[in-house]
Amino acid sequence: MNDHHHSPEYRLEATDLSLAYGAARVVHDVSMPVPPASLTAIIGPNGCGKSTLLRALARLHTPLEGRVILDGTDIHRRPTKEVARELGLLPQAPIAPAGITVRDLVARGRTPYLGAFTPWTRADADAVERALKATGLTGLALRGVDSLSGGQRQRAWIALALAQDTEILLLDEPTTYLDIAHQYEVMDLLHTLAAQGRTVVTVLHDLAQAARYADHVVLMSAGLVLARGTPQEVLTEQRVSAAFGLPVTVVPDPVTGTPLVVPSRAPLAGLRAPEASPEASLDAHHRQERTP
Amino acid sequence: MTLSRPTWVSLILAVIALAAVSAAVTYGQTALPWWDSVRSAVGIPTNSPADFIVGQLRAPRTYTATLVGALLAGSGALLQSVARNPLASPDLLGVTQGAAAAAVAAIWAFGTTSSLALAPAAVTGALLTSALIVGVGWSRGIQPLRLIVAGIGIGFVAASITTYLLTAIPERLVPQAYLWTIGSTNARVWDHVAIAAGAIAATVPVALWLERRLRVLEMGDDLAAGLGVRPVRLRLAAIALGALAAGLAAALTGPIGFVALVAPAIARRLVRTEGIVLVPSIIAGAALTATADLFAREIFAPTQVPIGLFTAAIGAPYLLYLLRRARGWNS
Amino acid sequence: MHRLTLAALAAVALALIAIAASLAVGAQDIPVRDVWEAFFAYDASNPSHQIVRELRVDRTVIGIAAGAALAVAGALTQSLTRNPLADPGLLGLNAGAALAIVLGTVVGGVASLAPQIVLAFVGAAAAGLVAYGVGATGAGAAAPARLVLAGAAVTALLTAVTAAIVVAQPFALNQLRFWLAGSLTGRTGIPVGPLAVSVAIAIALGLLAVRPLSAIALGDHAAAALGTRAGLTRVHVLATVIVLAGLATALAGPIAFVGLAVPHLVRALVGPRIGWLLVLSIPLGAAVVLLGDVAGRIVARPGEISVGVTTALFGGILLAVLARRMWTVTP
Repeated sequence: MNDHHHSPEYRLEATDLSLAYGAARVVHDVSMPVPPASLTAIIGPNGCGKSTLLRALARLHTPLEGRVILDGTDIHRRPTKEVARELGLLPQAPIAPAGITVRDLVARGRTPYLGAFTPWTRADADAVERALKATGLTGLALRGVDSLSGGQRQRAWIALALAQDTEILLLDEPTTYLDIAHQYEVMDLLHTLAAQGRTVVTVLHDLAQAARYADHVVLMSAGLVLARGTPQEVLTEQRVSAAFGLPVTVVPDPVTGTPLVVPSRAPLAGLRAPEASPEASLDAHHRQERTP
Repeated sequence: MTLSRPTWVSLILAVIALAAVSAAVTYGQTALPWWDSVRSAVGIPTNSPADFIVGQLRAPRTYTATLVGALLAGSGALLQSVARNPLASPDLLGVTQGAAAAAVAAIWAFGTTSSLALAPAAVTGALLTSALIVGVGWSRGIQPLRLIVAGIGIGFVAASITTYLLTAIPERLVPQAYLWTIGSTNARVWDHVAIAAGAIAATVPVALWLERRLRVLEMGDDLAAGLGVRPVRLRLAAIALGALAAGLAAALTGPIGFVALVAPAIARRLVRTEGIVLVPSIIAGAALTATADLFAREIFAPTQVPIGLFTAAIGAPYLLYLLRRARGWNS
Repeated sequence: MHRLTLAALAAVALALIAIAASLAVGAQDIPVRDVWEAFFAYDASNPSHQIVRELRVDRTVIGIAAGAALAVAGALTQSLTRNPLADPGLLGLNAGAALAIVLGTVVGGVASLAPQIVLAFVGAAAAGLVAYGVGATGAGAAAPARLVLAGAAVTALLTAVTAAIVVAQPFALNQLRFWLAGSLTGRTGIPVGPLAVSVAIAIALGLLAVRPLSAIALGDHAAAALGTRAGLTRVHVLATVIVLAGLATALAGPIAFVGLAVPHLVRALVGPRIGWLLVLSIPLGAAVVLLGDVAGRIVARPGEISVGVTTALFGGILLAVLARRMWTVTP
């Protein structure tokens, strides 16, 4: 763990953060600086608190203890509109108004810059066009969001966050529910954004994506940060096995050489591997129910 | 210059509303010279029977109905956006029943049936009821379906109070009191028009001020919060404003059902969106009640039918249609 | 088993206390001892004995029959639809009965009681079927709020039509306003005996559905796998519910929420056992209606608040509380 990170070079930082839902504490005493101009992936088993931590970084969850600091000030002490110009968030399941076009959806990212009766300006329009271009959606701007593929739709949501013109971008599992080609389409986009100087923090489900794309990985388990650092530092057999409670083997990714995590155990002899474990589908069901 | 879809939808609806209002002031049981009617309707003396028939009877009634329709539609548009459910409206949420119960309670307590004297009671009733609904429906934030079902429950309580009071008040007051449960545009005077216009002037600008943020809120609380909107505060503000508008409407005419439900739906359908479109909704509400009131006045003339029957005839089938659709039940 | 026996004993004891209170409490309180003597040592010259035998017995029998009918109907509906908010009283039955009576009065000149009871029954059944058809079938059938909203929609439509007629024909209003408030009195000459026996038969028929309903509780697919004919069960249960709710409406007028509340009370005692749920709904339903009636007699002494109002007061609050519990924000 790199605990020497405690300096003003970090714009966004969590210090001694504890988070709870009612009486149930889900994140314990987490300190985490967010490295600038890079892609940080938060990973961990279901229910480990990673989404809650991300929401807290976006000031959507008031801490029980500790603070989230943005540019040296407690994020909850700053006007919400001002924060929204510094930090964008893409939640897990946003709702696209039926019939809305891609451009209109992306335009709503300009909300923090608009008062109730402020007119739409050239600067707003330019920001929207830039966001469309960055996500490769310029040609689809007039299409309905309903008619897009899963990957295109996720890119439209990311474009909304980009139109917000924030240096920091937080995303909650942006690749979930996408097929593998669309997952990598989205990860490529996030990687490019980080390379262009944005600070991107994303919760990820898939360890292979984290290993390939992230500059920094934060591994959580049971509300604690187990490890923090480069994928090579964090994704070791010992740490991943401990976090997920599953014996794993780490081999070099045949394509990129980054760590590739595979379970150590082959399907048990004489038993058929379950096609889809009931718990897994139940879990997916709960996750859907939880989304607003 | 090309007009945006909401703009030209608003313009078309405004033309319809204007046509209905013109028809309502110039057409009636007593045939009058058209020009006299028009002049009386805008308050120019003509020294003809039109001064009374149009100036004192038709015009105030029509204008009150039209403005109340606009208020109701605005209320419905706000509440539907907050609840993210096209079913939310002050009549289904119990706000209207609260206004009616308070008005009937005032009749029972003070023995007056003057609609102007009862107006403060109705507004207070609407606001108290909505505060109660939010209070009960509140549990770490506002969940739309919880709010709706809590509203139906509290609406039932209010309706049962009204029912009891109808058996408790003197028999001669019963027909007047009963009107508070269904709404009526009969016998409105210029005071009603003035109050209605004031209500519009007070509520619509605030609603427009909230509209842009409500559109963002429709995309989910987290996304909205990420864009600098405060979901809880915005919801409370929109509910309070919606209840105030519905309460003012109920104070002026009693509860006219279904306008708040249907008018925003018509507007959304025409604009082709599922989000809030305040201005088209308000104009649609005005057009709807102006037309319904003309029918209520003339279709069985000289017998007057309550305007609520016509709005229900349009609204109830639409509501049943909405319920048949599967969408939106798990939000 | 021990716990269930205890629950059954408690329910019966509560019902007995409610019966005693219903016989003893009123504008004139009568000591329990006199109530006892009125049955077993009747003295025709004792006015207390007369009150008990001539007024309060009928009233109490109506309360028992209506309460048991409504509670069992509610338990059946909730089991069939797997919807904890289902209640035949919320399906617009009352509005249907009211419209039928008003139509009978105005169109058919019906003023006597027997045909009014038939009209109420038919109107209630028709309204209930429409609301059920809209709210509990097709896609999204399992959504609890939908059935409640369908009932509210049907109620609103029928109320508007009723109101239109009543405003035009004020004499119908006086017939109606006492029907609107559910009451265990006021309908002298009602054939209490035959109606109560019909309730008993209908409840017995409903109890035959316990087995298939237990299977349906696991979902339609699981029920089919267990060999249950879901379609047949649905027809059987719905027919029973409509007969029970119609009889209750004919006996006591509209009493909402008993069908919602009592099954929730019983489930808290016996858990998800459908047989026990139905059986214990009988004494608890009777107890709730009788206690509601007694409370109405005590609160407004020397007048009284009718039981439809007292149950709606408590029931509306219960619905709001249930809404709060059902849609709690999960982290």
